Amino acid sequence: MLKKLVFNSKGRNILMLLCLLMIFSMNFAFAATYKNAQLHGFVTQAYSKTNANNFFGNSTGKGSFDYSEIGVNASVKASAKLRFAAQLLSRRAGKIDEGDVKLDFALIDYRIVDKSSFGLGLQAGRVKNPFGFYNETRDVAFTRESIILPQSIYFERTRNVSISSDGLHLYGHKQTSIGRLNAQLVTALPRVNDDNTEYALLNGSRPGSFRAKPSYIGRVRLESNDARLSAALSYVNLNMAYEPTTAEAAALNVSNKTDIQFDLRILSINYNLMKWSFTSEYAQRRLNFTGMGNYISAPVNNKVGESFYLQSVYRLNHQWNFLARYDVLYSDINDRNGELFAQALKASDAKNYSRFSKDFTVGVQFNISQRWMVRVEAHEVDGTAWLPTQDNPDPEKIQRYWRMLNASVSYRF
Amino acid sequence: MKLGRKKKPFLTYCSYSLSRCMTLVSLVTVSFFSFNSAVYAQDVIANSSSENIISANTLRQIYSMRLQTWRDGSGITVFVLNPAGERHRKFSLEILNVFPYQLQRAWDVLVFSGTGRSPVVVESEQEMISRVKSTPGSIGYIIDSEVPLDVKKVSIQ
Repeated sequence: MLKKLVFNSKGRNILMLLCLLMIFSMNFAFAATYKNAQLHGFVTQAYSKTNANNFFGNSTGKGSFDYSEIGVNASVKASAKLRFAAQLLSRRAGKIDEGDVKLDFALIDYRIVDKSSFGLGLQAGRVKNPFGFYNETRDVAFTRESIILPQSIYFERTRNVSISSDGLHLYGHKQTSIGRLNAQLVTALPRVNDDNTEYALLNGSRPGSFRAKPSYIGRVRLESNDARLSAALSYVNLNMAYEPTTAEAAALNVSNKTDIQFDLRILSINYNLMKWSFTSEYAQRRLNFTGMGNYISAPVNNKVGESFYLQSVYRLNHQWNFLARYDVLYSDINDRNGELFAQALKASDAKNYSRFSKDFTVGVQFNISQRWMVRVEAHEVDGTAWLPTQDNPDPEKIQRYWRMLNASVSYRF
Repeated sequence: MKLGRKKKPFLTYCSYSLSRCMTLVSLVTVSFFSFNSAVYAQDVIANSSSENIISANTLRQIYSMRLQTWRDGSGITVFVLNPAGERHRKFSLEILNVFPYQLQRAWDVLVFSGTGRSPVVVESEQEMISRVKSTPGSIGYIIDSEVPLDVKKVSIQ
C-alpha cells in the first residue's frame, strides 16, 4: 500500500502537497501570534475503503486517498472590540470537492457590548452558518469526534450551500443563574453558485443556474457554567431560485418563477464527564421545490425528512479516545422504509433503500501531541440516503448494505 | 395533639443532625482544597493594569476566550502554559472547573469559525511571569512557582 502511494503519481502529489504544507505550517507554528495578528491552520489526510458504493473517491477496490482538508486562517485585532478574520479552505472529497481553494469566511467582527453578564456582537461579510453542534467547523478534524461527521445531519451532498453565507451575523449572550444563554442569527445569501448545489438539488450538473435569496439561520444555546451540559435549538431557512436556460425551460417544463426552500430544525444535547461525553442531535428538514417541472418528481418533493444520532466518547486518558455512534436518516418521515417511494417510481426502478441510511460507527482516536492526531473508524451502513451521487453515477452498482473503513492523520497549528 | 408534640423534637433532631453533617462536610471540603493549594501555588496572575478581583464565571469566560475586554474597555490578553501539559490540566480542572478537552474545543471552534481567537501559549512559568508583567491587560497563571512580589495576584470570587 505504502509502496503504491509513494510510487504512483497521484500518491506522490498528495505526499508532496502534505510535506509542503507541513514545512509551511512549521514556520508559522512557533510564531502563530505576532502582535495583533494570529495565524492558524489545519490539515487532514484520510484514507477510505468500502466493500461496495463509493465514498470520498473510488473507495471500493484498494481504497481511496481522495479525502483531505486544508485550511489556513488569520485574525487581526484592530482594537479591543474590532477584529478582521478570514479563512481559506481547500478540500478534496471524491468528486464532490476537488481541492480548489475557496474563501471559507472573510469577515469584520465588532463587539458592541462585551461584559461577562451580557454581550452583543455583529459580523459582516462571509460568515459561517451556525447550526447544530458541528456545522461551523465541520471541516476541522479537531472539532469533531470522528473522521466523518454523522451524515444524517451533516451530509456531504449539500455541504457547500450550508457551510457559510454572505451577509450579517448577530450574536449575543446573557449570563443567567443556571448558565450561559447564547443566541446567534445569520441573515445572508447562501453560496449556491457551483456544480455541487446542482448535484445536491437537481441530481446532476445542469445548464441553468441558481440565484440566492435572503436566508436565515438561528441558534439558541444554553450551556451550564461548568460547560458540562449544553443544549441547543437551531433553525435554518435557506431560499433560492433556479434560472433555467430557454431550451431547458421548454424541454423540462421549468417555470421562469421557480422557488426552492430548505427548512431545517435541530435539537442538540451534549453532556460531558471527565471520561465520557454523550451527544445527541435530532433534526427535521423539508425541501420544497416550486415550478421545477420535470426535474422534481412529486414523490420526493416537499417531504419532511428526519435525522438523529446518539454518540458516546470514552476518554481512556489524554491520548486515547474511543467512539461509538448510531446515526439514522429518513428522507421521508411518512415513508421511513421508502416503500411508498419505490412504489410510486416503480417505472424508473427506484430503490426503497435510497430513502434511508442507518450507520453504526466505532472509532478510535490517538492524540500524538497537541498538534498531531490519528483516527481509525469503521462504519456498518444499511441504506444509501446520504451516499453522494457524484461518486456513484451508476445506480446499478449501488448496494443497500455496505461497510466503510476510514483512517486519518490530522495536524493543526 | 399528642402526635404533634412527639413529632416536633424528632424534626428538631433531624435538622440539628443535618446541619452538623453539613458543617462537617464543608469543613472537610475546605480543608481538602486548602491542602491542595498548599501543595501547588496555583495562582492567577495579571498585569498591573488588569483587574484585581474577578468572579469564577468571569475567569471561565476569559479563559474560554469569550470575553475580550475588561470592564474599562481595554483588551484582554490571555496566556496559557502548554495546553497538553499537566500544569494546564491542573489549572483547568482545579481553578476553572472546566475539563481541559472542552476548553481546547472551545478555542478551536472560535478560531476556525472566525468568531474568536486562541490564547497565547508560553513555554514556561518564567516566561508566563515576564510576559504578564510586560503585557498591558494580560492575565495568566502559575502552578509551581511563587508569585513574585512585583506581580499582581488576582483574587477569584
